[in-house]
Amino acid sequence: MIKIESIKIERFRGIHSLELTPNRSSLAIQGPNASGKSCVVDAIEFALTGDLSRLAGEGTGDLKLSCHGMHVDSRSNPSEASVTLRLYIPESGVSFSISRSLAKPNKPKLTPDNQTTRSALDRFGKRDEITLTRRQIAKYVLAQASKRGTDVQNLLRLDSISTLRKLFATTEKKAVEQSKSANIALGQSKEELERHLQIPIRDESRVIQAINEKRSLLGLEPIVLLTPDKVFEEAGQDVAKLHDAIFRETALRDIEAFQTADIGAKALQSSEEICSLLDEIANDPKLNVATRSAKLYEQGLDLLDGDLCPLCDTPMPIAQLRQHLDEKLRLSKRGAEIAQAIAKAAANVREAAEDTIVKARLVYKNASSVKQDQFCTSLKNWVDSLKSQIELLSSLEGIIALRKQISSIGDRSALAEGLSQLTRVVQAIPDQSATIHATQYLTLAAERLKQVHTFEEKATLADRVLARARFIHETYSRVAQSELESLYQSVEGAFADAYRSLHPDDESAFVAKLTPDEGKLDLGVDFYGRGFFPQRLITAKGIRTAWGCVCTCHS
Amino acid sequence: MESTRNVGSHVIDVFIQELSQNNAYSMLAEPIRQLLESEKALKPEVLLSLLQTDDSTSELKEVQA
Repeated sequence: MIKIESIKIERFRGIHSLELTPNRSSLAIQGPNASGKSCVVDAIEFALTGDLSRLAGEGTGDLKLSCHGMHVDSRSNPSEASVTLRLYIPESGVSFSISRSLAKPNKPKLTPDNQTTRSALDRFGKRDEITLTRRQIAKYVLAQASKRGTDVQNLLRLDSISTLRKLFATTEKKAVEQSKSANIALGQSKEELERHLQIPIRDESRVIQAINEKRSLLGLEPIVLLTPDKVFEEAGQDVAKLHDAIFRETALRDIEAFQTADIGAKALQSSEEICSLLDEIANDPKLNVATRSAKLYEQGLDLLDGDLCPLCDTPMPIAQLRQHLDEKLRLSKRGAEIAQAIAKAAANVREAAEDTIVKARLVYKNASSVKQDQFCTSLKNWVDSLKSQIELLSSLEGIIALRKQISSIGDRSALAEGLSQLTRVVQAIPDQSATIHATQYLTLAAERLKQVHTFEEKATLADRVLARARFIHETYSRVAQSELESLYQSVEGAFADAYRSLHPDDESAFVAKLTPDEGKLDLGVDFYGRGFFPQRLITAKGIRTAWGCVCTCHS
Repeated sequence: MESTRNVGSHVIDVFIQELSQNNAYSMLAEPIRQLLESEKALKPEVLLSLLQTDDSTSELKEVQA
């Protein structure tokens, strides 16, 4: 507990200058409307917390403490607006003062400033009570049924929990995507290295042996460790010129890898699945509409409180209306399942296409080295077209637009002649001497090994970030759930007591149960001992009165 | 819990305490607390950036600068 000895308010809200001295006694303020009674409460809150709840939350528009906390005569000079409280703590017998200016609301001045007074400020700043204005009480009483839970969460400042939980969930989702991309890139780089070495890279001793055979041909010392900088650190000026030349065998294997990439089979298989699912939507107009209207139906169910459809005013018995909207909602869920299945099938095609583009990049490099310019242009156009198709596969609208072409995504028939020509040109490269062969082998091995190491580092980092993001999300969700359950258990008893005291004649058996559910506030009510039901199923009148009680018992 | 008003702050306090008590993730507790108290609009990208480094505090300073 704290007791206020004095309050000094300067240029704050509607008060120009005011000094009150309750002298540790209770203080009542009386006056006509708009005379500044609430401003005194605001000033006390501001001095204790640096915040002003009346200017925060939904419905306050663009109002901000920094712009609208000052008296109208000092609106351009926040340093003139200040509140000073002289406080007394009975249990410790300590008196101290807090002074805050709107220019620096987060930097209170304490006198004396020591561990005791800072600790007291921190404790009391967190303990402030909820003070409702008449406008706020009216707002919660009159709130729409579907928005009442949200409004109460905002009142209790629980919206920040939901916001933070969403932030952590989104962060984890992005970390999953980053980890997946990094590991796919790592797998591709390993595949490219193995295609060159023709040895599984996990068999490190064999890889080192093969590299040392080539190094021996060049009169170089054998290596012991397989690191990119050791594989061919002696590469000199002359060797560097060969860097862009083709290593024939690997170039042929790169071309074959591109030609045999299995995008065609995946595209055909996914195309059949996607077309079948799209047909299901197209053949059922109700399903098509329901897929886009799930939120509307949910809102309709929330608003249902009589024999009149809340969406179109059609008279209908409430039971029939509920059955009607439930059926619509069931269709919506089926629509959502279909959309999810389509996205999954499209993702398979997209991943195969991205893998094929990586393989095409190596073919392009080889073709460029042997001056197959026309083929390079064709290949570039083909890749650009494939990238556009990948982009379309990211959304349902794009998939629908691409429907007829999905089965032929990645079709390389237009490149067949150019690929054959490139293969012939590469095959026609004359036999290279053993030393040139060894130089090119080592150069390419070092380049691809370096790439593997780079992607390994990225994948390791992405996996570490994912582990951290997942832990943070799980920990915060668990803590929030536990704390909310504890809070709701402490509130629901007082709420039910207040409701019963207002309706002692006919609803003396009323019981309420508050439960947190993924950031939402669910209220189950039992009026007559028949079990708990969601609050939206009970008549609006009863619940409005009940929520009014919540506001009252917290104020 | 003394008041419903600061449930959000209380949850953050408990959350940060749990982080700091976990050997594998304790180094994240202080940077995350600073980030949540920075009063800036929190974005997943900022948090991801924070999670990418071992020296999270210096990274946070760069983010906030």
